[in-house]
Amino acid sequence: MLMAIAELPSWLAAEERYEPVGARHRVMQKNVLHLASLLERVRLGGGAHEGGSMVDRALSCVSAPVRLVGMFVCVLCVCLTQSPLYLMLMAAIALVLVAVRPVRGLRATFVPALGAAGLAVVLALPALLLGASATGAMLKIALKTFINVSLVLGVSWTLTWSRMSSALKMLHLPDEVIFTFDMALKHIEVLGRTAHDLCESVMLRSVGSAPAGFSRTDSLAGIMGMTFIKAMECSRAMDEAMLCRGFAGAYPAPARAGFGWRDAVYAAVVALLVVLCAVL
Amino acid sequence: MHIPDNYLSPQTDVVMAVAMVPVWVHCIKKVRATLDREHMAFLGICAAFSFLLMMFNVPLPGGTTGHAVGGALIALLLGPEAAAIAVSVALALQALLFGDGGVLSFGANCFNMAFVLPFVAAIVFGALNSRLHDKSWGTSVSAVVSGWVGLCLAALCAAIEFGIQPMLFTNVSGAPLYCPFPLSVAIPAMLIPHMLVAGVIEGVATAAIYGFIKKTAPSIIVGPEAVDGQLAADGTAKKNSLIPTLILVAVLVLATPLGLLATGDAWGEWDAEGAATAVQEAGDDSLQASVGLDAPTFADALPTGDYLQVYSEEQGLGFAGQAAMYILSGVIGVAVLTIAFRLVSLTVKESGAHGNSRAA
Amino acid sequence: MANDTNNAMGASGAAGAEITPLIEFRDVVFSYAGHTVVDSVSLQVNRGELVALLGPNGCGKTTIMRLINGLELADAGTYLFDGHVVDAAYLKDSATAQRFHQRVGFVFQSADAQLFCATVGEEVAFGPAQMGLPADELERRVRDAMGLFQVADLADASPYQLSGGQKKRVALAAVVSMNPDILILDEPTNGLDEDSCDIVVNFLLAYVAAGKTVLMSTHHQDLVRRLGARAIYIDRYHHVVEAPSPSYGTESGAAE
Repeated sequence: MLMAIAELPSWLAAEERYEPVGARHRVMQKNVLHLASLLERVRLGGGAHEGGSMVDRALSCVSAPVRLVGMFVCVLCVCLTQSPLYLMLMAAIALVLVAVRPVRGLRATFVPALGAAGLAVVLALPALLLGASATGAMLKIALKTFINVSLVLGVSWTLTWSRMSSALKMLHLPDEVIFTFDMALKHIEVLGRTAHDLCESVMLRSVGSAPAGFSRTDSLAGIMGMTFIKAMECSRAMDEAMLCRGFAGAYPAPARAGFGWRDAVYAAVVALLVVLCAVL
Repeated sequence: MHIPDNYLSPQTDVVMAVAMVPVWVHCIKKVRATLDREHMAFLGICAAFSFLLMMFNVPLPGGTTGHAVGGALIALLLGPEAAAIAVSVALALQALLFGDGGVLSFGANCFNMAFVLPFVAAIVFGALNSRLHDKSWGTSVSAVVSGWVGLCLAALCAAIEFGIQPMLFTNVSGAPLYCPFPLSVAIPAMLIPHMLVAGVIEGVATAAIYGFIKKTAPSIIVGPEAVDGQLAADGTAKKNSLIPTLILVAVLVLATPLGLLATGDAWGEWDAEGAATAVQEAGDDSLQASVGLDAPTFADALPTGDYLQVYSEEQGLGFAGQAAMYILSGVIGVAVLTIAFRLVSLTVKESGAHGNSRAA
Repeated sequence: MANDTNNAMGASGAAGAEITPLIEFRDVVFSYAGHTVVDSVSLQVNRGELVALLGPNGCGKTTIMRLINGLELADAGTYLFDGHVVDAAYLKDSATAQRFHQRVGFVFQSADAQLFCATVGEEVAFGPAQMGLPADELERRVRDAMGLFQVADLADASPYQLSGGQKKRVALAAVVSMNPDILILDEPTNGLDEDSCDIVVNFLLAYVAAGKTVLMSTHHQDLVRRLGARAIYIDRYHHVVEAPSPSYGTESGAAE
């Protein structure tokens, strides 16, 4: 053997006597938690297929493009309507859908919707200065926002995300757009994992207060900078792999699925909601 | 900055989405022409990065945290065209998967964050950095300012979108149908926090991450500065004019107090007078008396800007007719904005040409 | 001189060992997304020991290491570090948490996910620079740590430009420069060439000889033999099989 056992410097052989003063780095912890929950969401990719309510499972059977169009139409109806009765109907539908979900589904759909509505309610307070009608408008926006966000999140909860991109294809969006979408979805997980690990690494090695020359901004810039570099490496590798496998510039799209009876039922319900929106 | 659904009227949403179509087409063409071969994975992965950047917490003084949009950073790293596509896709994912930002208001969000922000940031960065790049702090300062100006202008656009809602869309009794805040409220309410907080986050995050990548892997950067660097290597460094940038900054700084004082009243009066004359010209009996007798009272009673509503209803226009009118007025507004933008970019081009001729 | 300190350390370490092991798991359970990844695992790592975790892919080795670092907290059971229960309450106090993170050094499986500074020099200095050391001591540590892993000539290079083996050695230097009591290494020799591997092995032998503790995961039996490490086997059902089984390879083969 060429090398003998390495000789340790004296400081490394001794036990470290270090008493930290204790300055917490909340940002990094927040980022770790945030990214971890994001990765969890991406991994589940929807989530209803791993234990959703009966309604959720029924909705999952409807083909993805029909659901996307249906969601869009419903959101538009809610946005256009001025009828309190129609709003109450939609709110009832949204709330029932949310109410029957398991806790995980509740967290994924109800909490963000409530947050968005809460913001509108907060904005209704300054609107008081503009008069009662302005406050009324903001409160109506709050209700509509709640309905719409829970409807949209309901779709993302019951539709596996991979089906979402194939749905876009069936809606006749250009291949490039869908491919970009697909790539983005897949790489959110890859890059999110990198950023998450980097945050953890910073957290583990942040063993004291930052000395001069190491600001918190620097380590955050390092995390996002390295994630970007990783992104560029991924994209180069992906391009090369695609070239090697004979990629000619066209993205093969999944075959168009038929319009089944489930889709018809779903479309009928949406059509009924549209008619109601027009009538009420 | 992510505008949820229901704050904007669907008509506004349509106009904004239509306005984005040429931008997207141009950007896709430009990105394809710039990249040497099929770089299809590139845009998607950039979008994933942009998505993560929007979720990333950045520390603020005082122990709180905020998010950057990242449009400025990607514009500096990869050029504004790639940034526009990447941020658009990231916004679409956020809207569809996380309910963050509306599905209907997607076009408006893209206009603000995927068009105004990266393009303004790239222009400002180009203008500043061509002057300052020989100073050690030049690039950082340029990056901070470009992120700040870009985000503040994006916020201004969002504020205008909010502010025109009560002018254009009210019901018969004059109550606003969508966002009730007029321009006089929306502009300062959006601009002040964005100038003081969000713009600073965007600027600092842009500069810090850009600086890190420039130091670590400069070969990756293909944005405005890379082109500038090549020109500098050729010995014909292009010096963009600072004037439009300075004007933008000055306008932004002035806009906040001005908005507080003037905007709402001016628009309101204009609308009411317009209503009075237009209705008179139309020879409408029911309204003429009140308008003829006491125009100010009518203007006072008339909530800001439901002239269109009243007019179209008196004309017996159906929903389609009303929608068409609103869309047309929206198109006019966007056209005016576009003209303003093109005028600014014209100044940039002309002074750029001057710079080149001086160099030659 | 250095030897004297080593002996003194070794003696005090031995005296301490009879009271408490450095790391002790008592029936630790951890589940992730509905799957039990660590199933009532009990194990001990004593001071001055070199322990290798072996087992098939997906058996929970990495999760055990994350539990030891406090990156994950056990669902059930107890994890004791140097006699203290490590749980949310223990890590809540920031001074305690920082001391804990300084004492437990963790090198990730992927070095890519661990390097976030613009240059190798900054990377290695990141940890010790926060420990309030005097400037000359800090400089000495950074120089020594880079020297140990033979990356001193890369001090001004950016981690982005390095080869895989160099990145791994930089990651090791960055953790060792904090002088932790125990090194947790997730597959430290994975993807390393023979030279890099030798550098790591020689360092580990010296490190353990100085009374420090190492826990590593690996798939390489010959590495375990070369280091003279105590092996802990984890089967694919996430159970610990501490007694060295006849052969790890046949054991996992028999399970199929």
